[in-house]
Amino acid sequence: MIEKPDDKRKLEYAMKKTTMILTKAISIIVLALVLFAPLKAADAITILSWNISFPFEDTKEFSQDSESFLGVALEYRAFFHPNISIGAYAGWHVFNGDTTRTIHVETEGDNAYKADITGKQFRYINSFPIMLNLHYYIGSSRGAQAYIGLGAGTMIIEERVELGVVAAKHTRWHIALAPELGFKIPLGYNLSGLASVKYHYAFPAKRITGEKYPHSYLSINIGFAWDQNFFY
Amino acid sequence: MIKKTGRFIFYVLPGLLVLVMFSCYPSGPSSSGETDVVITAYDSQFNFGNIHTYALPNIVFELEGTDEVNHDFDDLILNEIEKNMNAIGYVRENNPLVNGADIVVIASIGRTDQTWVGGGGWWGWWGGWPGWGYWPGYGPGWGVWYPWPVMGTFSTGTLYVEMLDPNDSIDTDQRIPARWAAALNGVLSSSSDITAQRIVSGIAQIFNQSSYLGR
Repeated sequence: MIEKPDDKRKLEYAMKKTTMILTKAISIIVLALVLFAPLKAADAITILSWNISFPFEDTKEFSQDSESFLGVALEYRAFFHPNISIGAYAGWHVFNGDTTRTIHVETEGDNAYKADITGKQFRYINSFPIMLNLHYYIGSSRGAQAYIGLGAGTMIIEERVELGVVAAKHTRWHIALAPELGFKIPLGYNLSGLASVKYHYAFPAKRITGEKYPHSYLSINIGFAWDQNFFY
Repeated sequence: MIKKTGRFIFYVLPGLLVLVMFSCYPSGPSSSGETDVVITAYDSQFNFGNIHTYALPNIVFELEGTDEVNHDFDDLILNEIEKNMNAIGYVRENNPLVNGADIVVIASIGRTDQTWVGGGGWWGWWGGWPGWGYWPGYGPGWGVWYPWPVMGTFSTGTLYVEMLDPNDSIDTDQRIPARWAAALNGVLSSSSDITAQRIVSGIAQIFNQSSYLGR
């Protein structure tokens, strides 16, 4: 729980952790690709987006952040009906901030003691949503389309606090939902521009403080969608 | 041609985005001052309101270890401790060898990375203060013990300030209980223009966050 971080170790840790998470995410996406393989190539799209996120309540309180420009997501959607798609979604969203508030620690029993810790706390949240999703589209597939969707799956959330030479981290898998509203505009060459708003909600799970809290944030996503014909 | 370029961009775009994420990933402290941590812990069974006098040895002790210790700021450290102790209503006893004191306050510097361990502490190096002579039975070789579990690990150059209770019954293990302890992490690990400022503000914070002290 308590470790001594230095820059090199932190980078190695972040890369190792990210590799592990991305491996899991890619596995899920590959599984989705296999499941949807019978569909024609043009019936599926891949989406890559940049995400700007705004944390709420406990997520905001812990991270001491009010907006994050660090977010990416990869998504795959397969159409089994002209207006309905099913797919998989994986993302990485980072929140960070700092605070100098004093932490109070208290125990009970024979060796009861109380302690207070003050210092600049650097706080981080790495959120990795991995979900299956369903979308419904309004409008012709040849033109601009608005869509509404819902993702369901998990959000792997790592909370980390660095204070002086010590760091504490805590990782939990939360059951999660992510409703989404967006639109897609054809740009030509089997490529579309895409913009959406997605609300991420992770149901309560035990957090670094020992208590159970949910996580939630709203992401504004800007990206591109392309189908397999784009590469041929 | 345009399509080929477009294809190429989208082949490498996911990798580029992840690369950008890594390069923009936030880092932690950017200066030594940002790693300053003040930790205070105390025995919640002890009544600090009953303290009237305190003894403060004119020595900044060194904990066991191999690293060199910076003593350039000893006077500043002892003055700041005295100033803050007096400000909360405690009275310094200048002749504890004769008159004793309700509590002994000591300052020490870590010469290696040190972990606060419940039941543990420092041993055997504090015999250089004659004031211990007031309390029969205490002498060189005795040490401090903390009545709390592990609180954390502190780096070389940490300043420790502790309130010891030599009026407590003699411990057969030659230990004096700490009723209150504070650590100002790594503040003396280097010497710079702002070291004195960090010591002053750190000691002030030690007492600010210990509102239960004082009369």
